[in-house]
Amino acid sequence: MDTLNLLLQGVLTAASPENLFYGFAGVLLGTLVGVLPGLGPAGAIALLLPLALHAPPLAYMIMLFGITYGAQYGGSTTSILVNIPGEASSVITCLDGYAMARQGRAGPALGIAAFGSFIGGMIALVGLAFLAPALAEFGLHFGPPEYAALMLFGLTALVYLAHGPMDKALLMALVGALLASVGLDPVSGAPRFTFNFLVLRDGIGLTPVVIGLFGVSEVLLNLDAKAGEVFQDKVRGLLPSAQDWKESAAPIARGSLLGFLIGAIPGLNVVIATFASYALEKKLSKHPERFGQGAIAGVAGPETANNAASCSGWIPLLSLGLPTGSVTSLIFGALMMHGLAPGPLFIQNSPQLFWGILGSMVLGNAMLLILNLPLIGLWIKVLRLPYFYLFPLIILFSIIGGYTVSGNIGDVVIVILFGLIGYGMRKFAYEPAPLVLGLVIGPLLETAIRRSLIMSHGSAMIFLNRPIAALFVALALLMLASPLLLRRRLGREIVDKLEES
Amino acid sequence: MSIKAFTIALALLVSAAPLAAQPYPNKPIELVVTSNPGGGVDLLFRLLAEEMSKTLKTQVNVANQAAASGAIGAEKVAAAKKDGYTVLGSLLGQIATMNVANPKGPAHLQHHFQPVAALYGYAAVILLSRADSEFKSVKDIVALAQKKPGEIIAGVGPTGTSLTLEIELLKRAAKINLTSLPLAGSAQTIANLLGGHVQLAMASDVAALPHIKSGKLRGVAVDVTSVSLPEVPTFAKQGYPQVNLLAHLVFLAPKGTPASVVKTLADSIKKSLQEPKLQENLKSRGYNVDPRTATADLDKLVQDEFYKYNRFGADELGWKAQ
Repeated sequence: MDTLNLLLQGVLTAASPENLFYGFAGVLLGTLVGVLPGLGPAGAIALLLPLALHAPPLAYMIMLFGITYGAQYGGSTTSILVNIPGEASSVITCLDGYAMARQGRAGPALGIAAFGSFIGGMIALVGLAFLAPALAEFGLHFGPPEYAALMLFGLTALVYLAHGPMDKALLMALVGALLASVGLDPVSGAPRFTFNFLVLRDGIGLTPVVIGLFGVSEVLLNLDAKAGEVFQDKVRGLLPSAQDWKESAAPIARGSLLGFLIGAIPGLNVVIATFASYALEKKLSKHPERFGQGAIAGVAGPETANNAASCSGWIPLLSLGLPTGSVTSLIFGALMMHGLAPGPLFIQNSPQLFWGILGSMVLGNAMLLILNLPLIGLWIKVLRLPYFYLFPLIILFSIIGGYTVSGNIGDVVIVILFGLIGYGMRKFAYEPAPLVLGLVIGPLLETAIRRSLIMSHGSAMIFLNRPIAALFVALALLMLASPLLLRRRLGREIVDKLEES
Repeated sequence: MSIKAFTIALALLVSAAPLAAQPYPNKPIELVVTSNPGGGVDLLFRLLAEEMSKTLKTQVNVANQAAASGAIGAEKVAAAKKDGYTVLGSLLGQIATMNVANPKGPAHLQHHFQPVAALYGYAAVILLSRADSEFKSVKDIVALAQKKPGEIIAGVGPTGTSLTLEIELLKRAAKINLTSLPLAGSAQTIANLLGGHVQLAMASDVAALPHIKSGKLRGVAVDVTSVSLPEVPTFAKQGYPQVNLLAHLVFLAPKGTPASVVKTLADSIKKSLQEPKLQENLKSRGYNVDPRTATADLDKLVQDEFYKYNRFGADELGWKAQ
């Protein structure tokens, strides 16, 4: 009850005209950088850092937080419309969101993404308000061996849950992991595969690869289209129908929970939450074959999960003062500029700030929903542009997007190169999504395993004699073994089916 | 807009044109900072740039170029026009390690840059233990490490930074064996110490402060007396003066920048740092304010930096060749 009161107080604080204005500016800007491929919340916040010295602290922080979750709303827009993820966390939305757009159902896809984001954000927010300190303490139990075991479990789960051509998906995941090994060795600091190019020292960036693999390759694939042809002129429905809602309700609920839990573990990428949600929905669905062909559950689940995960991702920073990624580090820096170093006592010492920020998230999520629904009509018009206008624009935004990541021309080269690679991959029916997953999980798994082995002086027992790590290893093994145990039952099911028909 | 207002606006525009011939500075200055936005180094440069904008009466804009450990930003400034409108803000050690490991590599401190000013020992690095542990001083650590070599695990920073190298210096000075676990930076080393996955952690004093205040962690030693934690004794006081890589921030202009321009910049930095409000601001955020602007001082600082890092191999500095 006390927590609810404090949250209500926070909402009231955030509703002051000044805070409301900054909040709106934040979510609007967030939506914009979310829509634009490449430029993400980190870039936008970095640009706004000089303002920190002039703006009032609470209003300023409300704006910065607004940018971060606003971007999760905007990220899905280009994924659905033109198959370019606005943010890496919307990669998986391309699969079914874009397929829906091609069937003239861009409206419901955009609509369910907005509603899902809203619901996921609100559920995660309540979790954040009630559970932040406890979850932060729990997160500390995760040392390198626990991360390694969790990644192992995660990879096994995804592979086990995935349908379709397993060999090609696995191959792509491995290629992704291999690409991720370019750059400075995360443990010893030695350069790997950099060929003395300075730009490669930091590795191959996730964002340029994603823009190339999805956006540029999409344009290349469509080059044989006739001049004057439009992408989609028949548009069926602007908002999700009753049937759409029925199919999306459970994925949204599961996505909220899954996103919240994955986001709360420090260092896990939001991207992982979206892949986990997609895999889970595909496994639970009665029609897994429809995934990739425009199943609305494949949009609803991941789009909910990414907003929930980005919300619970604040737990380590707000309750312990430990930034876990580039965006949280920037927010940490912004708080420092105001002389408000977050730490274990932050919630106690700056309750007005903490609850004010949480309150602003309630209002901000509501504003985003109101902002995004009318925009759907506008976005859909983009699809009526003839190819010869739309495609040069996509290429233009892809290149600008690649450049804005860090201001290096090398990233633009990566965008173009991966556009060509993506074209080849799709011509030969290799999915780009598993490659992205490999790129994300590969380095996490590698550093976790190597750090664990440093801690144990080379003994692999470290993964078995720590309870949390052992649990995840056991779960992974169980999952690997389960097809063997289930075979007889599955076999009978098939026989039954054959007899029926 | 009335005709009068329009004329005034036009007149202002026209009168702005001859500004180009006016003395330095007459347009915005770009300060290329080779660290990520939001971090400790970036924050100090931003606060200082804000004050310099007032003393120079022109905007000083921070542009972050942290890619390739700062090498790309350093190259950019080294190749920029020698007019004082593009300057580099960097950790001196960041460029020095790169030069020591690869003297022929890009952007060399002595060949390509003219030092403008330095902030001597701007922040402290702290060695932490858990408040409930037996490690109260460096002596305790050395004693246990002698008994059980390699068993104590210390969470350190990325390769080539003081967070890693100072533990190497302690190992050498005390002739002990600790296991260094390379992590991504202060936030990760502290999280792993709080979770009990490591027994010691290296971190910046500012990052460690709230956890020491909350009673969970203990400051064992610092490399230089910390502004925010003055009670923590230095390594030197505990018998290991070698464990000190005192980090300096520097302003560098491309070599060949006119002396008058360098002086204007240096004076502005000095004057800005004397501003009581900025001094207060920096101190409250844990920064040590000790500017050096005399040319002789700066040359010696750079010399010392080369000497300092020559003790390490290129791989330890994070610039191992392939």
